[in-house]
Amino acid sequence: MLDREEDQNRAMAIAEPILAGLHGVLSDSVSFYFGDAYTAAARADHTVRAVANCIYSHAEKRVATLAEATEGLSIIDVRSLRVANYRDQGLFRFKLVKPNGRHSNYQTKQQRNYDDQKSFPEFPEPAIRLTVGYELDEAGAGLKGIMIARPIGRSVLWTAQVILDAGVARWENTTPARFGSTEAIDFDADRVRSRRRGG
Amino acid sequence: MADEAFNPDMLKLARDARELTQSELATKTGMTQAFISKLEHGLITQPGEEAVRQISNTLAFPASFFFQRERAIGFPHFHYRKRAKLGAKPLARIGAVINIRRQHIAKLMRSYEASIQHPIPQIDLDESGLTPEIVAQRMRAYWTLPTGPIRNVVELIEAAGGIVVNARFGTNLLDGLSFRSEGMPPLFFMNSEMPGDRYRFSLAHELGHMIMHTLPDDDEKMEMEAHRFAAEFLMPAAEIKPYLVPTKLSGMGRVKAYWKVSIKALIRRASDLNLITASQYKSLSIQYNKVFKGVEPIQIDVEKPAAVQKMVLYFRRELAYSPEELAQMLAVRLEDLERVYLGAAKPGLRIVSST
Repeated sequence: MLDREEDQNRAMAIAEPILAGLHGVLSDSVSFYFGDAYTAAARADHTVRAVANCIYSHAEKRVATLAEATEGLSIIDVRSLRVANYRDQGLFRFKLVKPNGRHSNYQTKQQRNYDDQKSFPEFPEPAIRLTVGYELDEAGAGLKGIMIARPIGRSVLWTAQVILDAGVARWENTTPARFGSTEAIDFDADRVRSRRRGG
Repeated sequence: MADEAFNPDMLKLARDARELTQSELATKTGMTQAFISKLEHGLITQPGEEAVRQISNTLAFPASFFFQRERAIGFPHFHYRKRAKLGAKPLARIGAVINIRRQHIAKLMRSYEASIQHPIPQIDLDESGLTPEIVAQRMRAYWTLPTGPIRNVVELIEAAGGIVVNARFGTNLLDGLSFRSEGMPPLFFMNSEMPGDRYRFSLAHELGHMIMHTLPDDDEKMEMEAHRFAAEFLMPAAEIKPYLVPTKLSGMGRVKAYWKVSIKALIRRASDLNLITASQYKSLSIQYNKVFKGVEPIQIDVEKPAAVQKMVLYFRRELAYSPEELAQMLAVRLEDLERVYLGAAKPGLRIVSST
């Protein structure tokens, strides 16, 4: 049984030393995309998916640079799934998310397994699996915020807004109120998948 | 000035420009309202030097301003409904601004010539059988505009001989006014107190009036035709469609940044082009209001006119006018000339702002 508050505090304590760096990776990537590197004409041609792909590519390079400069941070590349690993305690996947911390694009099997907390031989266990999400403004033309979300299957157990004040990162619990009653979760991927299949 | 006639029209313009009633002006100048009233109705033609000095100081216009042989003109024959929403004072002030600036432009144009290759035409929709959309497409072809967004609407109009004046209207109920005046090119007076994307659409809308509405017609019909012209001129159907599918707010910001039109205009365009249903349009509009609350993201700069400034520079550089001579010619105070035409300050309503 996962307790929401306990899980969030534990995860954010793990992430705390690299929060500013993670924030920087995404805010720089989004700024780069909406800066002079692309023309307004190019951006107007982009679908939401294309925007997310571009920003993700920029974030990949930046997180690799961050990993070079940060002790304990490395990149794990499992075919279509690349995540940042911090001291074998936290795994961070970069995604465009909605305000509730969910992401909506097509998921490969690997990616579904990640969100379902399934084991991978390449992943350290029991590292907590997180999404470092960036949210675009309502018009899709700028950064609205950066958050850490805890995906559990197709749901999200909690979200935490990451705020950078004068170079110092802090976080606030922003778990949507409608998840509020879900203070704990007993998630088992195999059971849920079996239900999804109607088995 | 003793042998020249005091021009009551100019007193009314100056008073409207300062948004003063006759009674308020009388109080400020220490005169009676009866005296001001008779002056404005032409019953007193020689008010005396002291009275002129008082009026001139109070209204912040040089004495020579009141002795010009100018005639105030009324509003153009469109925008009735919009004007009806405005209060009497702001409306009178806008009318005064337009008249004063028009007089300046007329004086400047007497000694200034510009060669115009493709002037703004006049096209009668009924006679030609054209729709506003076809007129807009033909205008783009006539001005050999490339496909895609129009980079600068002001530049286009000025290159075609039109004169655009940005002014602070002090209200958001009126975006712009345009008219043709005898012996002058089409004039566009635009409210500079609005976002740049709305400014561009309003200016294109005014351009539509100038091209299609030589003769008065039903106000609602003319407004709709000008709207259709502006929409097609700035967002040609054939080109904008791919950018509006799917019509989602989450993609509109980037489309706005490229096409330089508001998200609101893009949603409306999607509806006008039947890319969304009426209920989708309603739902998007509700979402739009809820999310943006009247302030859209992505700032588009308000375009800056240059034609009047260019004329003033011509007078200064080519005709060797001193600032004093220019102020005298335009019948403005030297400080107003510098603020409005010579300085780096925004050209606009400074000339009629309270001092």
